[in-house]
Amino acid sequence: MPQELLIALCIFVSLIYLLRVAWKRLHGGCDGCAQNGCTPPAQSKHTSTSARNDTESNNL
Amino acid sequence: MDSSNTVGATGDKASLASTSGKNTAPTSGDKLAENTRICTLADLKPGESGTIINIEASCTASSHRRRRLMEMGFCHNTTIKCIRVAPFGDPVEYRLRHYNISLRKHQARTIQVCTPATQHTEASKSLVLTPPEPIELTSEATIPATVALLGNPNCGKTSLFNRLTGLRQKVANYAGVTVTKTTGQCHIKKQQCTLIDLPGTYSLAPTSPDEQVTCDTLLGRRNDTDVPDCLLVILDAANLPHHLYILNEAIELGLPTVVALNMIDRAEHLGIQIDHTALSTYIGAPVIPVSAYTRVGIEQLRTALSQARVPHHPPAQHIPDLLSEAIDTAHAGISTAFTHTSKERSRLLTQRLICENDSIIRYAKNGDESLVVMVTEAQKKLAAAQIDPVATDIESRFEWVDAIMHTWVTTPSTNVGTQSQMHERLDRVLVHPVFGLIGFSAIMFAVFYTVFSVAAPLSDMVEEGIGTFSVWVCSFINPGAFYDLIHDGVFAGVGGVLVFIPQIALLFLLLSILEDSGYLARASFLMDRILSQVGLHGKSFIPLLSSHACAIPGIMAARSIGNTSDRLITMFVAPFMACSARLPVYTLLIAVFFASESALTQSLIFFGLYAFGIVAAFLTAYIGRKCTMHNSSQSFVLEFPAYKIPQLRAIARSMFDNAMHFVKKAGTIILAFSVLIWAALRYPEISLEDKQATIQEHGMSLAQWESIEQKAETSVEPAALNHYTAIQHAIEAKQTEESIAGIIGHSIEPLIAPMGFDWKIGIGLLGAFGAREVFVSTIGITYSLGSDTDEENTDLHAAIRADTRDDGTPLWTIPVVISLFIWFAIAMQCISTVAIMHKETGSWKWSLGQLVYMNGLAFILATIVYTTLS
Repeated sequence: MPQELLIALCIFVSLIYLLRVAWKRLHGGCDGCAQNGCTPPAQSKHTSTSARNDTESNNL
Repeated sequence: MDSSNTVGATGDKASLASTSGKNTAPTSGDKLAENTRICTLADLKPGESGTIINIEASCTASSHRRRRLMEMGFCHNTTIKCIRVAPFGDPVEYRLRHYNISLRKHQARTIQVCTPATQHTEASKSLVLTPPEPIELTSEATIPATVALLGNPNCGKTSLFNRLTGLRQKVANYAGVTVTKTTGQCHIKKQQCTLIDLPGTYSLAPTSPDEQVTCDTLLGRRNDTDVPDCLLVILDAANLPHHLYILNEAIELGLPTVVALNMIDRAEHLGIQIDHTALSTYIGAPVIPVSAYTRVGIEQLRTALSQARVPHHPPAQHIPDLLSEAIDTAHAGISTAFTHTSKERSRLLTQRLICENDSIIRYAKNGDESLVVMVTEAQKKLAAAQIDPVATDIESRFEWVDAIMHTWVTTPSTNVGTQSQMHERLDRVLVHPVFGLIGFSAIMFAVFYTVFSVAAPLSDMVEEGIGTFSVWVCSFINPGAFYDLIHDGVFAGVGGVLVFIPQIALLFLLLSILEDSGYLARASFLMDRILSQVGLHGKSFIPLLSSHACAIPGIMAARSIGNTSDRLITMFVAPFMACSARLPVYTLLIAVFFASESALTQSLIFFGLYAFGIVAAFLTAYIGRKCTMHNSSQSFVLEFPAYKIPQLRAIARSMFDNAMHFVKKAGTIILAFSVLIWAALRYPEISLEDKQATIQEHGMSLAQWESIEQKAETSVEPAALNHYTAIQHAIEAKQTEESIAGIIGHSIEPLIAPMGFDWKIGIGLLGAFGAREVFVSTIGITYSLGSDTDEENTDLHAAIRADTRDDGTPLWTIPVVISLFIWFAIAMQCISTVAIMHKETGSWKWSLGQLVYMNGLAFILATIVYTTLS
């Protein structure tokens, strides 16, 4: 595969990925970014199901 | 004004009643000693004990705060001891019901005590508990679909949740770690069951948003969650006098229940013996001793969840008939208002309504006038009979608690359920008014010094490893554009960030140790007065410290702060704390521009950057408080957890998880940014004519150029090689200037020029809005374009230092670096933080206001500093 084509593919994938992350973040969704307490979806050892972290809005 | 009042040996009841103005003077069972002094709790000196005779709602302490204090054990006839006073005289640590708690003096003034502590009739002895017929736990399994975990803060709910589900939710040794509802799956007898981990609460009358989540879930007020099928009430076995209260309330919910006596290992170590079988028989539901730490009893608990029973209603407590009747009458009249909940829960809600808990009114149908009428009528009747429904309700529950303690729990005579002598000694130093503050400063400095200096050699090793790996990978790729992408884009960008793994891992290791040790609650106590002076709250300390890892959990942790304005101001300033994403930027800039300084000086600069963020947060809070004129809460109720030796496994896991998270971030977001930034700096490529023109401009013929290009470096004369290298750099500079990134950078340059930044820094700043670490990768890519594969990092540093502006003056001067430090310390660059701020406040006003304020402040300060220093 020509190197230019590979580069174009990398750029396209990166762009799509970052747009997806930005969309999720702006809509408050979890993209696994936060750490130390803001729980990213974690895999359960026993049940292979993930934790769901419900972050309620607290209209101050 | 001296609030003390000495009473004679006869114990003048009339004068006591008039002092308190309530009907809660010492009972007939009290024996007032000679020279008994009546005073407020605030008048007690460290070491002095007293007996609570009244707690009243002052003009500043609202009824729900009074209620909360009573629910935490500040009840009539309770013995309380003043332990110590925090730096600058406030707050004060007290000890009651076998645990330690801090209160501000203002709150302590609303509590009347007589001192020395009186010998009073123990309520527990007056309430005799007779176990009903033993229950038979059937072997038939009825697996509940949903089980909610309920308990006091810091009783180990999340630890148990993690054990049962196999998940890794965050746990730490202070109250308020869990602030949201989390669900996970658990297997009971091969059937799946959903566990709901709820934030801790001292009662079902919430006083903060996190507690509201718990109460709403249990009372069926949430649209997204049905009332759970089963309750798992978790109690700290080492501190039952304080934790049984929530069980009493939970029983009234009328749900099938299982009780877990968590930390049973610690209770046994302290010599506490609990007859859990008899207690189980009495309550009518399984009571299982467990230890989430040692895994003792976990399987029994799993089995018990299938045998959950609706517990027996607590026996007729010492509630005056009039109050019981008032509740029943009101309940009969208004039960239709609670159509969405069970009879037991609606009676509990009615009782809460009568007890003036305003928030409960929201559980009823909107606009149900009969409810208000009935409740008001009941309240009037009670007022006429001089019955305080809140105090009566809570004290009767504590009678039940004390009776259980008296009947089925055996405790050693001294130091029960609290710190051992060694812990007391630790407190004497760590919470000392003077040494405590010195110790706190030393601990914080040690954390940041360790992160910066100890990690440096490890970083070098990681860097070498990445370099070797880079060479190995690139050896498989033919020279060309794709090779450049991998070498100059991926490895220079991602690799440049990955070298900071040791710093990140160490930061989380040290934070985990602090969190697990129990020190953070003490630090909140030490810092409360200082924080309150700048408009923050003692409870702001933990959210702010959490923000050093990431602002998002820091902002969410503010839910544990009850007062709205305190919570809001904490969330607003939390992003000023230097998060772990800033760490690589600070480390890189210090390593490049302060390389000649000693390790200690570099660490001091690093510490100073963290301190700068803290000062900016404090100033913002102070100004915000002054401008908005919102008063800070007068309330500071904080339970002191017992010291614990951090679990090696837990801290190692926290360190590993966070390091892996960082690697994941580098391998996803930063990788994607690196690819795009490399492409933006590379394309469009300059034309061959332009390249030739540049070569000729620098006084070299095309033939000479081609000849040097084709020869090996060693066969070229040094002077010619230097000339060739200079021209090569000129071509690269022209390439980057005319690239997409160059065009974007130049277009924003006028905006950032006042801060001393040029377009290259501008590109980094733009990328940092996606993730702050991208600044480091951008710098890495920018200065490694066209470089050799074996170029060492020190050469990269030298290239950064040697870079010049278009007019030939050095770009990276000290004023520019300081200006950049200021920008990164203050500017808000994280989209996730904006989103979470919006979610937590329910308004774009605060999140966008924060974005504009922080970036505006960063711009102004950076401009002033750059202009002044230049």
